[in-house]
Amino acid sequence: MASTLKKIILKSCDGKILEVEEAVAVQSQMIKNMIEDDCANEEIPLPDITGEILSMIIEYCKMHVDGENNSNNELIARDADFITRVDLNTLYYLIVAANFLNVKSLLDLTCQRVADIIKGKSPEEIRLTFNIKNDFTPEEEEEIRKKNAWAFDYKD
Amino acid sequence: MKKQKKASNGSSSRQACRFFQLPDAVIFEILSRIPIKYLLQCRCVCKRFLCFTYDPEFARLHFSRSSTCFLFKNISPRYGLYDFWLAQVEAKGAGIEVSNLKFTQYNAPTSCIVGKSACNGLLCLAVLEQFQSRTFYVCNPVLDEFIRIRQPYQFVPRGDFWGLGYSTATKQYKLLQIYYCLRYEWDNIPAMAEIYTLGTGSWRSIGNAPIGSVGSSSNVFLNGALHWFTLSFVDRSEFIHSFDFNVEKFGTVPLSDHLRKKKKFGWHPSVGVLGGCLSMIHSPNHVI
Repeated sequence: MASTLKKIILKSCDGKILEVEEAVAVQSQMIKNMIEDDCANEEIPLPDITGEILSMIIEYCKMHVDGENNSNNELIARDADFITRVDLNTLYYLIVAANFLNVKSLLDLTCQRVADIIKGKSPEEIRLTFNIKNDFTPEEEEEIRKKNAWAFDYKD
Repeated sequence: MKKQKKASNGSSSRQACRFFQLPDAVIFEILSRIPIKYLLQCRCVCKRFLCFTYDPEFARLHFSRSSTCFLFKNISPRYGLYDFWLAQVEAKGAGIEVSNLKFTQYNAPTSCIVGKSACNGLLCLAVLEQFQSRTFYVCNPVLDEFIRIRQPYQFVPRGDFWGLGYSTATKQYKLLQIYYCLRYEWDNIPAMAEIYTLGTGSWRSIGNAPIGSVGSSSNVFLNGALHWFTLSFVDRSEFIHSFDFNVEKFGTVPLSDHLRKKKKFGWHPSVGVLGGCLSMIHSPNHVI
């Protein structure tokens, strides 16, 4: 009983301190490894994660721990609700943090969200959305388009 | 002023690279979740996207995540020739979404295709060339690459069967062909079996194939083995033929009892894979 109530102390890069129940914290494989190696008794500094992002990640992990007994469909619906509230800029930070903390389900969810944003957009729309510079010459782009003509919509 | 301009350039390029600041492994994670049709469209976005889609490691990851794809051909209304299509089926909410890709000359030979086989995303197409001679093309439609393989014999066989497979033991792709020589009678003689291992450049005999194992053109690769139905009416209701590419041995998969009792499967029952299981399509009311 005592071990389930144990708190892990996390410190964000902007100095915010968050106390998290161990059951929630171990959703992060990185923190889980630290606990197993007995390195999580003092506060854990997280150099690249802001307090705002860290709070979101804890909210997400908590949602998964609390929802353990819920049906799969309910969890999917909650995940969808969580991720669609996030703008692209925040999504980048979440991905970097989920990758660093190794929260696999959150990394899957965030990567899928970016994939869904890309899917169905024209190359020009993708460049605009993600601020990517077109580094092809018009001739090069035409050649790639021609080679991949089967992926672009056609009339038949 | 000059300094300021430099700084603003720096910040705009930083902004532009926001996506590319993510670790490559994470970008792989993202792009590998995009269905093939939209992924290929992404090649036009920029050079880095283009490079990612040609990375062998990425190709493996993408393939492992891909949803079911169907290969089909239909007669083009304009030329009376076959068009060749790839259809990817994905779950979307409670329903499904299908995206179609029509093969072009860049992906595969597009004319005179007489048969197809597929394994791990590679396609093998049999193409009728001049003087009725047939050539196999093993294509990677995504990487726009293909190689030509000549058939193992110089004559027109009485009946034949072929299919592409992969040996996990040797990590090699192999093309199996079974055929009857002209000088034999059709029934009750074993067919010849030969294997072409990709990368070796030649066919080698593996002896005789079991009697009745020359199959219909539909075949499917699953769990290291090729599966197909025989053309023989006698055996049709008993089992599915198989060939294990690791040990290069023929085998059979018995049909379930209720299928064995059916006896009649109509014309050309075919095999497929659904959710990692061998499946069978038949139309018992189809009369020739």
